[in-house]
Amino acid sequence: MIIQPKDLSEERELATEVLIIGSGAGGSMAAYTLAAQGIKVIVLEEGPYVDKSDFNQKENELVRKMYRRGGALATDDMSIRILQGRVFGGSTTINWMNCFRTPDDVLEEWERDYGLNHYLPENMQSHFERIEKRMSVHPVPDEHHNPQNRIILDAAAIMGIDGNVCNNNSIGCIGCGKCGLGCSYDAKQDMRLTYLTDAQNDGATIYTSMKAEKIVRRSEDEQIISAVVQDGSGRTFQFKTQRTIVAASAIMTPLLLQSSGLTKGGLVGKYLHIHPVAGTVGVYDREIHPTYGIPMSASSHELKNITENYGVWQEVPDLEVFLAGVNMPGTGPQRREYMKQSNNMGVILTLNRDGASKNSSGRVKWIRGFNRQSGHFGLRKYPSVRYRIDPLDKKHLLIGIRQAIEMHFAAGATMVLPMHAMMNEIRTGDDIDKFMQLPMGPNQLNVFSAHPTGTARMATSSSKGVVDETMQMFHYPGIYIMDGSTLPTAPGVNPMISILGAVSRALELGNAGM
Amino acid sequence: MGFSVLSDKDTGIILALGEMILGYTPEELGDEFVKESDQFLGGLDEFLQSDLKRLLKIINSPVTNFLFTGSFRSFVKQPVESRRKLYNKFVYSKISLLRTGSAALRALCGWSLYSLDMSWKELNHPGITIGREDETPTLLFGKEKWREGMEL
Repeated sequence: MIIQPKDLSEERELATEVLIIGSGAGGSMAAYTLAAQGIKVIVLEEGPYVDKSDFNQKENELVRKMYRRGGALATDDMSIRILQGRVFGGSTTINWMNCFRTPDDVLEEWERDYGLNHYLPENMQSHFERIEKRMSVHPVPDEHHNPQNRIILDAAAIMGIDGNVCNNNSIGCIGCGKCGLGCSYDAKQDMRLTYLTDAQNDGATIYTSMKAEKIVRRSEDEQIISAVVQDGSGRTFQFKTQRTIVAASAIMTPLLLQSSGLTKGGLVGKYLHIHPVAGTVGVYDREIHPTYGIPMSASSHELKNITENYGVWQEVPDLEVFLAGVNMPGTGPQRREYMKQSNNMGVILTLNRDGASKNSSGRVKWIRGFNRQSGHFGLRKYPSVRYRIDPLDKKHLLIGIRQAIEMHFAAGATMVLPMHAMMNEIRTGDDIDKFMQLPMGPNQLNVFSAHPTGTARMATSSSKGVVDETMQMFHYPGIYIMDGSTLPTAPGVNPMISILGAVSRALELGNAGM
Repeated sequence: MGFSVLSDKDTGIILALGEMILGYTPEELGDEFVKESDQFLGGLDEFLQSDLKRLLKIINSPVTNFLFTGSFRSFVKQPVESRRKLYNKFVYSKISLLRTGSAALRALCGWSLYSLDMSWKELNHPGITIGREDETPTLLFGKEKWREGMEL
């Protein structure tokens, strides 16, 4: 059952066996698995309920409605925009459908560095298989690649480098290219149409536009969650539960835990990884129509292993017009001319598996006072997201960008826009060398992200992690974290299947204590 | 036109920024552009909204312009090229905070124009596909085969 603000009763105090905060990949898997056992489950989703009828493809309406901070979520210094869903189904409602399993070498690294021997490839295979079956994951047929994805496949063939067909979670996709605005055709098999539907069929109740603000832990078997209705009314509700599962994302989960004083161990909010992404734009003398077609149907993993399993990989976006409009280089008439050529542009995204030096300066935290990165001064606490690209990760990213530029030229581009504040166009090999010498600091090289992970990571020891292998908090039994924040490292692939698989495995191991 | 976040003075600054960054005249940008800026700001957390409003005041201040270019004129009263000169001081600055300001202004202007379908005609962007599937490039990318019953 879905309960929207208009459906709410006067009763403000409710009870359940398991309360799940967040309806993205992790929360949905938890709701499905537990409800199927007859356990009473309530899901709280901060964002609004949406269905096919809401997905009118109008960018300004839908981004404001379905993205965190209306699409403006970013690091404090605005140098890295972070695209994240705040909607029924979480980011799976607005993602670009890419479905990679967590690579075996990453799972082995989790075992080696964090002791997670229950997450080795042989333990995960059956989980991935079940998930892929439920979500109709399949390789995109060869004849369905749009011209933008063909840039990767053609360039890979010409250059003799890796080029692959990707899997996605769709049934009957017509390639409208508006995945980022929710699927108008119900082709994308996101959480709304899969695990959340299953959970509802098994009795789960989902409150939408209901933001959990605080968790009070009375004991292992009793927690009280305060939540505020997101309709401007200020109405508050209290949910009494035996188990709490926080699945609000690697950005919001640590903020909620910190607001609730659940920070013992000192690791909550630390070790943010984001898969920094740099877009490289090729300008072609033929129409590419980057706003249409199935996104991310091809990828190259040629550079995935530059330094001990860390490196970059390359994919193609679903280029909403606003993304081009926000990121296009230059100013004035020149910028306008670039935008006029956007139908002839193709974008290669270089995604960096960050954390090569085993460090992360990234963190999510409530702060007050002066923020030297944003210039904000406030006496009241405000959320702060900080992230600096580590030098080794930056080196990998630049190697990837160089390859992306070369791929564009191999595929016939007449010019490449490297998306750097100090250089608009690359036309020759000399230009590439000049570009590589430019400073690559914050707000110089254009970087964004859609994959925050790691801020409440899983390990077998509380000195290394926030949750154990069942995803229960070490210091707060009865409270579980089941979202991207538990992934101990950046997964090195688009994380939806990794999150679903890890949560499915954690429930198999501990069943959230139920 | 009354807005929820932007004052009349802010409106002038937004249009001047839009002209300089996006290359459209204030008349071309029009009320829809300002309205979208207002709605964008209105959707932000309170602390971010106040920061961006403060940034608009800073960029328009004659003192700011004097410090960076030696000319004591407000942003809105300068010719477009002078505005660009000031903006580029932010863009190319070694001081990270100034680059943050330029990124915020670019994002605000870019969003406020290109998220609106009024901007799409000039881009030859065919627009939404709902109800127009046969007219849009989706057909080129597989729909005909799908319609023939190809199993995906």
